[in-house]
Amino acid sequence: MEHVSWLWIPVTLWAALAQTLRNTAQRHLTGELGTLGATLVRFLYGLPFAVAWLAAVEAWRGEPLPLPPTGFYAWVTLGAVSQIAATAFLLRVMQERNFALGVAYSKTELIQIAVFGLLVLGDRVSAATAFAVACGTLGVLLLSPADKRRPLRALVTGWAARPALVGLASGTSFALSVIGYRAAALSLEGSSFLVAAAVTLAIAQLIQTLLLGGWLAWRNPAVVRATLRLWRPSLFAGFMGAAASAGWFTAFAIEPAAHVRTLGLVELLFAYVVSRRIFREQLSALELSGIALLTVGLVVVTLGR
Amino acid sequence: MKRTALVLAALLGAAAFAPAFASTNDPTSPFYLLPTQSNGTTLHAVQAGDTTERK
Repeated sequence: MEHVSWLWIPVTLWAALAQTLRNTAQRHLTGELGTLGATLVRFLYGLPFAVAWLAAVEAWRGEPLPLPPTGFYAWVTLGAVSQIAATAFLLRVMQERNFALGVAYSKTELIQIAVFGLLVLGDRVSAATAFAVACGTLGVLLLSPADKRRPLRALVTGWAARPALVGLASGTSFALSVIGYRAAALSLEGSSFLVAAAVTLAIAQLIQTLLLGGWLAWRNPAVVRATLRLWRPSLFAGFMGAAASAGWFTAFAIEPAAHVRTLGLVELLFAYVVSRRIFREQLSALELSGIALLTVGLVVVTLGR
Repeated sequence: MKRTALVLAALLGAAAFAPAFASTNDPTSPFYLLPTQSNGTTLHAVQAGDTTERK
């Protein structure tokens, strides 16, 4: 009888695709609302869809809603707050003169997920997973190099520079958010993975809407008003954001986060297709090497775990 | 364009989640999936009738 250990794969591929569409929708909003405003759109307009998803999953499974333990709230808060912090760190990096170095360091997220997953959750890292994570990280670094002529040397020599440290903090925050979400879903013992993931998603979106919405209402109420005014395009971005998160959270509830996020790098290939860069322009040797390494990472994490 | 993207996304999403919705706690089902573990270890799909957790 066939087993379903591959179940996380289509869900992760879906999450990556939905995230690509969400980013495309969000790009238009970023121009009008700024990055934090566009991020609020993702949480605020995603929340009703996240709740609807929970209701749909509940109706399908017919299980009672779990009564989350205290640990669940701690983990989901860690996830929600870390995700906002990661975005804030990334924004800070963008203000630096040498921001490419910081962005490159934020891409160490994948390695950090593997390390935190092992330390916090005991998610073992096999040799194949370590290889896939290394290929994926190297591939991402080549696609957004700190220095196009000497991409790796720039990383090694610039590690103590301020943008590098802020970028590293962003990567750490992203990694902690992923680990927090997975730990929260796993803490809902007795629930099926679909319900556990849907509950975690709804609570996380609620916390993020309250935190970021509250902060923006206090510091920059004009952005909140603009967010409400632009409800029509925001609804699409919110829907795609919630759809992507439903995929990520479900995958995290089944599979170690390092596997999920490594396969999730397929998003970069989707982004190339969506931007039609891949058809319009000749790709540089650096980009081709990055795509090749990324593809090796994706194949290994899918087949060779 | 947006409507097409939405319809396409809905169809792809349904296809991606179909196996997950078909999963069950019934050990005799081909889509049997162990419920979330309480000790924080990985949740793993297993073969029907096999309750041993895979690493």
